[in-house]
Amino acid sequence: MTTMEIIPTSPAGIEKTAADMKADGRRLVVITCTAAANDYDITYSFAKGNDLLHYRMTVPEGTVIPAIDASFGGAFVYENEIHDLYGFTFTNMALDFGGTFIRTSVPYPFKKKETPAPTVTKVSKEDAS
Amino acid sequence: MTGKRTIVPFGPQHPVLPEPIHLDLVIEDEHVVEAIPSIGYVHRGLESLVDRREYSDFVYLAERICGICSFTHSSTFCQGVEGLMGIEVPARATYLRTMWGEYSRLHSHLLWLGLFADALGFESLFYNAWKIRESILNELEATTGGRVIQGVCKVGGVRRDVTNEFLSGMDKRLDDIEAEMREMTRVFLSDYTLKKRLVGKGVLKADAAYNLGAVGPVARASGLVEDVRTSGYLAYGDISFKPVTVEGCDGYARCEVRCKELFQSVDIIHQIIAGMPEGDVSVPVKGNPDGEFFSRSEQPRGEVIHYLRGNGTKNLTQFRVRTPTLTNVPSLVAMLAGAELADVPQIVLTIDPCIGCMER
Repeated sequence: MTTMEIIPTSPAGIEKTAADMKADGRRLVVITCTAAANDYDITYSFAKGNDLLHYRMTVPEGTVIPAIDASFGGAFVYENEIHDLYGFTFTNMALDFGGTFIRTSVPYPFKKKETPAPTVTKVSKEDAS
Repeated sequence: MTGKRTIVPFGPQHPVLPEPIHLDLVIEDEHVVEAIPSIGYVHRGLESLVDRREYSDFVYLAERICGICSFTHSSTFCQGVEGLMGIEVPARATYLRTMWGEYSRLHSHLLWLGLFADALGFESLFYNAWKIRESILNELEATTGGRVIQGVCKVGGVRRDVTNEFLSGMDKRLDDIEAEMREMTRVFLSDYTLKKRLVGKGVLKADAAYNLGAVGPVARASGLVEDVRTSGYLAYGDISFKPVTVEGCDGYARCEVRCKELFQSVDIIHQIIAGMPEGDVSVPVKGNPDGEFFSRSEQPRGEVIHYLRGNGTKNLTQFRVRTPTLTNVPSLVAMLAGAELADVPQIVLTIDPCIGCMER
C-alpha cells in the first residue's frame, strides 16, 4: 500500500495553516475533496518549487469550513467547486457564487448517496405458472 | 468616468470561445471593474466513473477528459497508478511518453496560436499555424495510430514502440517544421497589429500570479519559474532544459512564452531521440492499486494534478483532477479588472482556456 505524508488539520486550524504556508513562500496547488469511509477528506496541497505538502481534515457532512482566501486569493475556485459538488459551506470566501459556480443538473452530485434498497419484482402465482 | 455601472454578459457562446464559459463583466464606461466567471456548461462528472471501470480501462476515460491535453491526461493517470503499485516503467517507455508529451505541447501551442490569430482576424496566420500543426499531428498518427486521442499509454508502459529508423526520420522532419515555426513566430512577435492588441493588455504581475496560483505559460509570462518538468518526472531528469520565462506580465508575454516553448519542445524531442534507450516498452502488471497518490505533470497549459485512491480492488475508489485552466481562472479575473471592454476577448484567450479539461 502506498502511503503519503499527510499532516492532519482541522477547520479551526486551517486558516493559520494557510497563513503559515504563505509565510513559508508556498503556493496553493489544489484543495481536493473526496468521500472517505464515513466522512469526507478535504486535502490542502501547497508547493514550494517541486516540494508538495499536504494537510488534511476529515469532516462529516455539513461541516462549515473557514475559507483560506485571505492567504491565497485563488482558493475560491476550489471552495466554490467543493460547495457545488459536495455541499460543504465555506465562510468568508473572496468570491461566493452561492452555488452557481458549477451549474449541475442535480444538487451536490458527488455527495454520498444512501445505498438504495434492492428492488424486488413481485411475480404473481398466475404469471409464474 | 460617469460612475454608472452596467453588467455585460460575455459568453457562454462567443466567437472567440471554442468552448462555453460565462463571464459577467461589470462595466463602468468602457472599462471592466470586475469579472465574475461561472462554469458548468459542460461538466460531465467523469471523475465519478472511476469506481465503475477497472483502473486499466479508466486510462481511456482519463485520456478523454480533454481533446487537446489527452496524452498528458493518460500519462499522468498511468503515472499515478504506477506510483500506487510501485511499478517501474522501462526507460524506453518513459522516453517515448516524454516525446509524445512534447509533441502534444507543440500541437496544443500551435492550435492556440492559430485560434488567437483567427480571433484577431489574421486568417493567413491562422492557416499557417494550423498547417504546421498538421505536420505534428501526422507524426503523432504515424507513431501512435491516433491524431488527437492516441490511446497509446497503459499502466506499466506504452502500447507501441517506434523503430529507431522512424525516429531518425522524425528527427530530420523536425528541422523542417522548426524552420516553418521560426518564420511563423516572427510574425506573431513582431506584427504591428498583434503587438497593438497584446502589449500592456491583461497585466498580471508576478506577486499576483503567485498569490492566485497561476501555472504554466500564464505564470511563466509573469516571470515565475513554475514548471513541473523541472522535478525530473518521466525522462525530464535526463534532459537539459530551462523553463521559458519572460517578465512582460501581459498578453504579449504569454504569446511570447508559447512561441519560445515551441522551440524548447523541438530541442527536448531532439535530445529524447538522441538518447532513446533500447529495451522493452512495458512491464507486466499484476495486482491492484492500494493507497493514495498525487500525480503531477506539466501539460501545455500548465501543471495538472491527478489524485488517485485505491483499496486493493481492481477499481479505484476516488479520482480527482485539477486542471491548469481551473487554477488560472482567478488570474483571468485579475487580468480583466481595469481592462477595456474591447480587449476582453483576446485577454480571455491569452490564458489558453481549455473548458472541457476544466470541467472534467
